[in-house]
Amino acid sequence: MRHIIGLSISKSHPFTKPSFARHLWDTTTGFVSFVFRTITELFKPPWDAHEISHQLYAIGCRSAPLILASGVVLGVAMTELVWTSLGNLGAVGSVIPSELSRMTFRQMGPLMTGLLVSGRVGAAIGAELSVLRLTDQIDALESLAIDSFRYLVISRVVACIIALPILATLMSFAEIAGGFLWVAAKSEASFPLYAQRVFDKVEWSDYVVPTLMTAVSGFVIGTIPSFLGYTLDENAAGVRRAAMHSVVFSCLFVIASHVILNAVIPFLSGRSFQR
Amino acid sequence: MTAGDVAVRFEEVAKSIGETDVLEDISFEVPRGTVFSILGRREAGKTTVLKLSIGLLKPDFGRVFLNNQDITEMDHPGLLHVRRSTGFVFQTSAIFDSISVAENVAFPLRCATHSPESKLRERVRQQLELVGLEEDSDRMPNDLSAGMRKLLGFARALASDPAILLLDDPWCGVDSVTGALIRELLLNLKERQGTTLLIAANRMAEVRSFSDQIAVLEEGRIIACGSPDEVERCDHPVVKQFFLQDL
Repeated sequence: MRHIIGLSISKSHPFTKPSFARHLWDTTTGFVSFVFRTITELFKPPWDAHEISHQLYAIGCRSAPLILASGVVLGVAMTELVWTSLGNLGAVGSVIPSELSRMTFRQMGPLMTGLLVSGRVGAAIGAELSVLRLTDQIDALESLAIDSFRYLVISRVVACIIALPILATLMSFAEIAGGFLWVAAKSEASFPLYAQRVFDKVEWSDYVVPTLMTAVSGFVIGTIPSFLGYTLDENAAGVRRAAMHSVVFSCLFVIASHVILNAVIPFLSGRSFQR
Repeated sequence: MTAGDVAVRFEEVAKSIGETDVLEDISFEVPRGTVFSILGRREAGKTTVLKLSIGLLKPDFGRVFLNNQDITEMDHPGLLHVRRSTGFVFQTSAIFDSISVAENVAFPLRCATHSPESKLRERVRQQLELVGLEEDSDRMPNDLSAGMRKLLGFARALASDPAILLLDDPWCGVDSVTGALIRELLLNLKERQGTTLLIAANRMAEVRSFSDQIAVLEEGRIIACGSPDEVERCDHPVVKQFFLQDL
């Protein structure tokens, strides 16, 4: 027994750390060059319109039910929070729609869309591309003189960039609809009045800038899982890891990009969201 | 033989994958229109040789020439261009499993040419007929047996009439009838169309009858190379084993 333990310690100790550091370094440099290649190829025509529309359907249209359902539930939950917090101050009915719409358009809609799509689409892209890699289908594309990177990666990234702002808009309106459900259940408010109050204090810039920022989330959600799947060189366990890491890292990078852009864009435009 | 007559040439190629040295000092050339077979046991490096031949992998050392062009340092668009004259049949078949049998054959044609749909369909039908899968054109690849998937891989690789065809263990996992059909297909390609064939195999019986040259690969090195008769005279025990296997 002692021999076995001694053997395992002496074998693993000297090699584990350097190999982990090497792996981390290789992955980081690989990821940076992958992102650079993606950005370069994104602007190079021709784009495969057929494959992009196919991916738009898979990524965008098929995510819509999840986004709509989650938006309504979130809208109900957020309205309940505002209602209970401001209940003692009175005039809740007039405050809720405007507060909800500002929260929704500026923060919750874009961020929650990014996170939900990271979960659904990130895992799908990571798993799909890693299976294509494992079963030699990516090599088969290359052997048929088809640029696998453009066909598989660029089409997915473009589809994510286009789909995210649309889904974020859907999410925002679903949250507002959820808010109305709560308000309607608790008070006598009519929909026209609610709708008018929703847009009372919201400006176009409150919607346009944060929604366009979700294109960055789209880039993140398209690129990270593609990197993890496309560059996989392991066995079936690698597929599980690629799918899991796709979700984890996409979510982290979506949150990070959201926080950074929320800080940088108002600063650059000389305008604060904190009114 | 002039340089222009060579379809594939390896010059002192070495390749490591991870910590493993897969190939060491590999040199050979495949004259155009001939059949060159690479024989070896499992993990001898056969698939790596094939992948290096069309630039799916890059060598760590040495140079690889395809159609007389040095592809060792070639950029990706250049590689895609030279691959238009090649076909690759994978050991795992590598069939696109999300599209139908017919679409698998049509897909590379659609990407490479702008032929009208009717012409494309006719070409697909011909290719599927060639491998006996014309009745299965609407089926999905997952519904096919391993042998049928291999034949589909053939049909897809041959769709664009490649001048060089690379085959990774084409008899792996197929029944004897399908194996005979594959042998017939290869003979036909060699004799009627003059296609250059680079075949990786693990049994001498599979390739001996129609190979012009055979290279035996063992632990990443070529231990014998020449015509089937020349290789048979080699004294290396592994080479002898390959011939004894067939008795």
